[in-house]
Amino acid sequence: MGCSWRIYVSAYADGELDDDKRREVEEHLKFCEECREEFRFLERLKAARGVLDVAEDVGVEEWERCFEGAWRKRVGVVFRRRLVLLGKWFGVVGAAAVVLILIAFLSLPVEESVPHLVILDYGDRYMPLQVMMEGATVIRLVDTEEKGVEGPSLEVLDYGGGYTPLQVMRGDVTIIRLVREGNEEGR
Amino acid sequence: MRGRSVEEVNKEKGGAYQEMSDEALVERVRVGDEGAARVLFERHRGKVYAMAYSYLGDRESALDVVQEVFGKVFGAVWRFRSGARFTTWLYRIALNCCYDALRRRRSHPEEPVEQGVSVLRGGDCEGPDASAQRSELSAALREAVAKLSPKLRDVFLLRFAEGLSYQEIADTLRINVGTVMSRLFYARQALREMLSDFL
Repeated sequence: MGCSWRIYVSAYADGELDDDKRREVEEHLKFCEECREEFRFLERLKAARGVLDVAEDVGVEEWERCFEGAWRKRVGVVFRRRLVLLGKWFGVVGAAAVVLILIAFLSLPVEESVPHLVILDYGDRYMPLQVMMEGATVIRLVDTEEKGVEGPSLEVLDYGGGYTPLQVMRGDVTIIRLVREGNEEGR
Repeated sequence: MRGRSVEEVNKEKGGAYQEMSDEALVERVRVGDEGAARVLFERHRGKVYAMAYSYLGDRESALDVVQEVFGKVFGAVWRFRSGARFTTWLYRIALNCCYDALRRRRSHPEEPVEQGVSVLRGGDCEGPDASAQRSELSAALREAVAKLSPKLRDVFLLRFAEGLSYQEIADTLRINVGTVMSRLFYARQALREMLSDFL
């Protein structure tokens, strides 16, 4: 076990103590032979610092090559960094373009769709007289031979989204009117 | 800009670079100023070389590390936080590069492995006796430092060979100043035992 002040002597020799601690160490050194010997060793070690100096044996050309090599590395890094930034920029711009296209697409007015209506069998005597589209689809089947007979066999498979059948009549004329929901003009 | 010496650059810039702080030069390097990079390199290459030499023990490896260190510095100037001290950042990179080089050596055993403080100045202007004594002390110190644990060795070399303050060492190694003080103390105690015949 040595004197506990030796750690401060080490810092004192390095000039790393504040004024108060430095004065304390100086006072301590006056009566502690162990710490004085520690301090003398540190001074000898400090004096030997020069032996760690590396010989200046690097020529100008070698330093130049060294610098050029280091700078080339930077150029490579900068190039890669710019590529990455460019990639990020294109990524952001591309994503923004996709979003804008989606917004534009979604904000387009939805065209009136035509209901899907399949007539399987007109009956021998019936023929479709009229098909109209404008807010409503009307199919009129007219008996070509005789009035008052049974109507045609007619099946609506699919009205299409948003259409409701408004009227189905039988007699000499069968009318199916498919009206788009909320479209009063088609009535 | 290729191939220009620092003197030529300084002539062009009116010596302005020499008066700029390291941190200001880093700002110039950020925008691709090769002249500023040259001045930074000139200022610190010797210290980095000495550190690499201490860890690796031969000039070729040390030069490779210097190139690697400055390549990383120039290539990562964007990561340097403004307000930070350049040398702290530089020495941290240099230490990491030294340890990387040591690891590479261990994975390539055909290369001579010589850790620790390396071939030191032989004292060109000294007499034969003084030179011999110096060489003997150099070798002993080199061997002793190499025997220190990495934690003690890092702190000791940053203080002893590089002359960093306790605060700079603390910032470089990301430890507190008290730890620097105690590690330095233990490093010196260990060296005192190992160098009792020399110092």
